Amino acid sequence: MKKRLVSTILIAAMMLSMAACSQPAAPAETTAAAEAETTAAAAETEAPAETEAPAETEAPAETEAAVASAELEDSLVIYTTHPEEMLEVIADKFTEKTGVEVEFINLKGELADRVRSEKDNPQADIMFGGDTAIYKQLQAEGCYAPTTPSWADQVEDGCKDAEGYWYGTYRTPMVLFYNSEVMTAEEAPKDWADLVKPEYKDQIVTRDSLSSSMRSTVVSLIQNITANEGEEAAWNYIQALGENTKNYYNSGSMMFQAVGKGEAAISMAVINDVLKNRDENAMPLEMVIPTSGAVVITDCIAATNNAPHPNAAAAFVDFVGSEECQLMTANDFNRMPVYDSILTQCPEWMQTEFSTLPVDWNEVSANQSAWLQTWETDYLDAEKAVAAE
Amino acid sequence: MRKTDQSRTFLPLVWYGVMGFLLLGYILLPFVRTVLEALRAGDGYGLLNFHEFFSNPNQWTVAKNTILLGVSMVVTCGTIGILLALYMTFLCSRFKKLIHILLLSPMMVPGVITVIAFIQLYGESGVVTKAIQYALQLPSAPFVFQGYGAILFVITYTQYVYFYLNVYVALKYMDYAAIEAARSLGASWLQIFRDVIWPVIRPAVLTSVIITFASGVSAFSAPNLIGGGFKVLSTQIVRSKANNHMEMASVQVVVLFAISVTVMLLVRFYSRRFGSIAADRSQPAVPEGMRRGWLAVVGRIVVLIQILLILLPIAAIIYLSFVSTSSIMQDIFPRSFTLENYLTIFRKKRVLKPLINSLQMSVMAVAAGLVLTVPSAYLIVRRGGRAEGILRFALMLPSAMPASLVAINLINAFNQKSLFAFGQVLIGGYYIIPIAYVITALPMLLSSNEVAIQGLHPNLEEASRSLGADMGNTFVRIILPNIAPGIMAGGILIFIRMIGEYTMSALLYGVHNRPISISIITNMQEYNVGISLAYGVIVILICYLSLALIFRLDDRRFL
Repeated sequence: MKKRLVSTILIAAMMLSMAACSQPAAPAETTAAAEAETTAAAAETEAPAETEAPAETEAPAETEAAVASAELEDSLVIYTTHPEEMLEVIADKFTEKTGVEVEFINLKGELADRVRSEKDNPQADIMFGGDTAIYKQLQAEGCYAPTTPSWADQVEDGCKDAEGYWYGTYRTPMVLFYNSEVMTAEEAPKDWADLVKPEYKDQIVTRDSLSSSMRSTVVSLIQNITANEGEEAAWNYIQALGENTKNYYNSGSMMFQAVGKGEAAISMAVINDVLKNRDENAMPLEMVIPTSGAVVITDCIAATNNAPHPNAAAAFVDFVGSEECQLMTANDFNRMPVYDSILTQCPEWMQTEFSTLPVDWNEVSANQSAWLQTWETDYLDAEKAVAAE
Repeated sequence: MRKTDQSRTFLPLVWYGVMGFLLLGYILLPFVRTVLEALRAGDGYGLLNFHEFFSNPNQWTVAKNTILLGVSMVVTCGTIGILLALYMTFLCSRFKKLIHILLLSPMMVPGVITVIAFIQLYGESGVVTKAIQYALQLPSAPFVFQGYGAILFVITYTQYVYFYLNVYVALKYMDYAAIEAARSLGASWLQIFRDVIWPVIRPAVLTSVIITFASGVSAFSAPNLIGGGFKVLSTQIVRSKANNHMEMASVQVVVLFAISVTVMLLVRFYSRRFGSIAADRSQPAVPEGMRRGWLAVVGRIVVLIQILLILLPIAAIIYLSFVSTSSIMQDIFPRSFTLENYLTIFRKKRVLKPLINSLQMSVMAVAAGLVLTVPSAYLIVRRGGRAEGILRFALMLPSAMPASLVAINLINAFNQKSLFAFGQVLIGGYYIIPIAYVITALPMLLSSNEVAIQGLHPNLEEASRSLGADMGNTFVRIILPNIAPGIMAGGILIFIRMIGEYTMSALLYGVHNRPISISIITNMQEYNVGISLAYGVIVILICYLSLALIFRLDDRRFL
């Protein structure tokens, strides 16, 4: 009987909790709570300011800060392609400065799709990471709202939108690298074109099509070859590259492990990942800047259109490009600043000139959906892993 | 008296209205939307996208891989599950209950965690792989844990449970005297299996074929994490969506649905040709002679290997969750112990949140699922008319839908303002995941509730009614308390299935509702393997506690 009683109570409790579910209309409960807090917080900050301001003259800095944070919303939501480790540091700094609580998720290669599919009901205030082509495409679809960060003028034209819908934040070179215990510098490939040589058969591993940087690299190479030799040549290259590729990895750590253990000698990755694994994990890796140029991804940022927290979003865009934040991400996370003026205070590799593969990002933007889908269905080799067994 | 009559027709009518609204809005119309999206061709509709799919040999390969995986899973799970059930019924004599529970336990570990555990054991630098490599002095890993073989290996060791449990239960109705008789007539074991045992377990086997095939073709975590280049529909759906080709994602999901439904109908058609064998249970005692001989020895070895394979990943997860991430990454046999992984989870709000989200969303899904299915099950069992038939069909419909289909349907239907969500956009919000959980839970909850209600004697209700209680009153005060244990047990089972859900979550999660499965993967990809494993241990712990609760509530469910 006692058991029965307990169960009945449980059922009753569950039915009561349904009250919350029967209104799927409301966004998260937390939002409502957050709003309530915002108004409360606003009321608190305003009240003392009004009463105290005429009586005492406080330090001007403090009042300024109070005014600024009163305008900002309480929280901020970021969708990103950057590792959460880095986001956490940026977010904590931002919270420290503004009092705005930051939530973020790393959506990797699915970032653009998420922002797009939530266009009518944006959950994120900030889209952070991904190349210019993606940002151009989503801007055309009306996903962004313009912002005017204080550092906008320092960014060169190709790396920002003329109307302020999006801005570059980091210049991220995608480079080749190899295991120096497995091959010598002479044997290693020098350029993207070398990767399809027969001697590198089964010597290459890469990320799969859900990696944001891998996607950028593939569409860049397709665009570059198409511009020089025509689209057929581009797909021939992708085909040949696929034939030489031993495996595709869903995770960066697994890919680096494969190279580190010499399962395959050659791979490609963004420079900061190569440096991290070479320096922090002491892996025997050598970097190769391709002779025709590294694919330089301009990692961008934008505030979403109709964002739930537009003021905090604008403040965050401003913060990410600020000298303070740019120097921190440069020195702690190997992210190369988007403007040159502070490069002297950055790690050495950022101060060395490296060549950039010419890519027309407008072309990429117009064609990438089709290219990526074709790459995915027709060129990423379905039989590979099976044959390997 | 008149009032009672009215309530008897009025209450069910209201209920059908509510259910009709929900089932139409959240299951049927979303599916129609997906089909329309798949048929979208320019400004109009046509078969263009399907033509694109079927004229591309690579898409064919993906479809073929999917079917191949489903069929091979039925074969491997069927073989292992049936063998284990036979052994446990006829040959096992010691520690029977313990072994039985152990054999059921893979069901308690969410797929994502199993896959990660298997990677830690059998992956390129896995403990088992390295141990073999060192023992045999091989220059490189003895096998590549990736692709078709690896997927099949992982899924087999989690999904054989359906076959095992169904066949085990069916064998309880076996007439042992018939086996004795066949034996004394000189029949071989093979003949006995074919002519005496098979007819009895056939319905259970066929049901298991349907479930296993469905879970095989819609498997996501294993192909996604260790698939390598082995592409299946469920993973390509996510990629098509990421590539801004929602129409192709919709085509792929419709093809997946077609595969799964076709096999289901084929099996149903086949099973209808045989009536079920109504065996009377005569003597439950197993004849002594069967427990000896080489069959028993072989059986014991198979069971031992199976238990080892089940316990090894769980042991590995628990062990590695106490090891620092850097040691997991670098040492082949990691040994530097720490509590850091757990402390991080409970100290950092951001890291703890996914766990809380998953708990909340699973409980919500179970609660909502029960509220929807208990009255429905009652009406279906007690009234059994045409309206109830339709209701039952609609509630069972999600069992034919692969998880990715449910998610894609919801995206197509609720990425804009919808009447059924009271004018809101649900995609990106918190409630979209619990809603998806509820939809997939409906069929299982309904059947479990039906069983509970069928066990209730109608006299109880008649007594209540004749004492003047109306239908609603009788339901709440008499029926619910009596069927509660059975219903709760079913609910907890759903809770266990949902807490580690990955397939739908991967398509639907957002910043407010990121579930633990997603965090497990993200942490693994971002070099925080230790935290992933600590999450895993916590989830496994929750699942086992829930299982213990099921046994207390309803001990006949599995034993």
